[in-house]
Amino acid sequence: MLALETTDDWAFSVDIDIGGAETYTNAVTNAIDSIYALVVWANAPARGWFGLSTFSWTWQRDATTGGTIFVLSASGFAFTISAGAHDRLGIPADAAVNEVIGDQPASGTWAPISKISVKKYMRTLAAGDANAGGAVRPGVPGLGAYRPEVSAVGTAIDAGRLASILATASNPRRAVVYQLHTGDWITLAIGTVTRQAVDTTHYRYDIQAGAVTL
Amino acid sequence: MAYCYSEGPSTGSTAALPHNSTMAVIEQATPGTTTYGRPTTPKLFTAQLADIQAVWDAQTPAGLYSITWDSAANRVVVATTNATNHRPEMVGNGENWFGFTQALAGWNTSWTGASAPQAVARLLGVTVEPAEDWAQVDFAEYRHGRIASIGWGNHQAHQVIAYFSGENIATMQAGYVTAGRVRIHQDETDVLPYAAAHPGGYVDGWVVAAGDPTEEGDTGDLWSLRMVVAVPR
Repeated sequence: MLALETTDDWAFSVDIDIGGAETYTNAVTNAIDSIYALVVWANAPARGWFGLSTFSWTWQRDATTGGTIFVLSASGFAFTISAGAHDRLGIPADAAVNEVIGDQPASGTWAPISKISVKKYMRTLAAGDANAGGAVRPGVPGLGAYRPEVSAVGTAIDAGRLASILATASNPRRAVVYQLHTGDWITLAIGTVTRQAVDTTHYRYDIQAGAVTL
Repeated sequence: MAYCYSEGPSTGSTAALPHNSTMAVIEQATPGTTTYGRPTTPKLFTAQLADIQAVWDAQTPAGLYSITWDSAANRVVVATTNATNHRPEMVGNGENWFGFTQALAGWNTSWTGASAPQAVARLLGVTVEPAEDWAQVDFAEYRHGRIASIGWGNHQAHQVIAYFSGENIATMQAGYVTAGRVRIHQDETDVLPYAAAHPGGYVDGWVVAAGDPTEEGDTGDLWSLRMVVAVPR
């Protein structure tokens, strides 16, 4: 899944209520960092429900749009949430629930049918005996000063979605991408996106990317 | 299907760039009166016909008109609904645009174009790839490998391959449907526009590149033409 920083209005506030409403005010401009910050806020000791309920989030592909549907969950007490996060994160208002599922894709998100491959992203590993391409390990040669390679496979819906969200990209163009094998969300500069048909149904996308973004 | 360019006014003999925006009519009972009709803004061919009909209904001495494009026959039909004898008159390149290439003489209550209008090309099939973002993007690299990616762009583009039979080569080469603003139906029965979540809809865009008709195989009757159609965003 890829979440693009967009020019949408990300200055939203959303109320969460477990025995008393508290308000989260968003200050980041992409969907991943936003849902992540919302959950960190909801689990902070300052919350009235700290220790009683623990929030978490997951995502799923929306096959209708090629975007990302967020799922916000809480273990413990049920919660009530206002509609403040609906426009950007797709999470609707709901009451007395332990899970709320988005009813529209989050802004700037792209979830093609395949996982997104991120290769040659430089990683810093612990000290060890050998190194790998794209990694830095103390005391071992092999600095991977490569440009990341980002690619994925998708359908026509995914093609339409990607062009659509790129039209809303903020300038400079930055996105957060999930790298499966490291389990990390990585912030990349997003350059030119190229596409080629690989069969009658699928397209392959290659995204020119640069890491350690400004 | 092509758009006609028009700046108005909706009637009268003088207008800017009237080459394919205008059709005129004379009624038998008032042969000294010529009524011109045109849209006041650029319009899709079928919407242009509706606009001309509305102007004629309001401006002609007696007639009430029906101006339609017969999709099955691929002909334009001009008729009155109140049995008023009349004769359409072509202006500029109207005879090719509307398909009234015959000599227009005498009076009648209904007229059918002798030729297919060059504003419409019937395709055997068309490949319209989903939109691509056609932004210009530059990478800028700063100290310590830090990177910013700056993008500029105001349109998306569709790669299009139109397949058509030999009888439509003249229409494709005439240029009305391969230049300027066009509407491409991937499925003629689909009335919804292209959208990211509906990539099978029709595409309204401007042709920014077009190749030449190319023969497919050697049967002599299957041709293709590649285009790039840009859509402002």
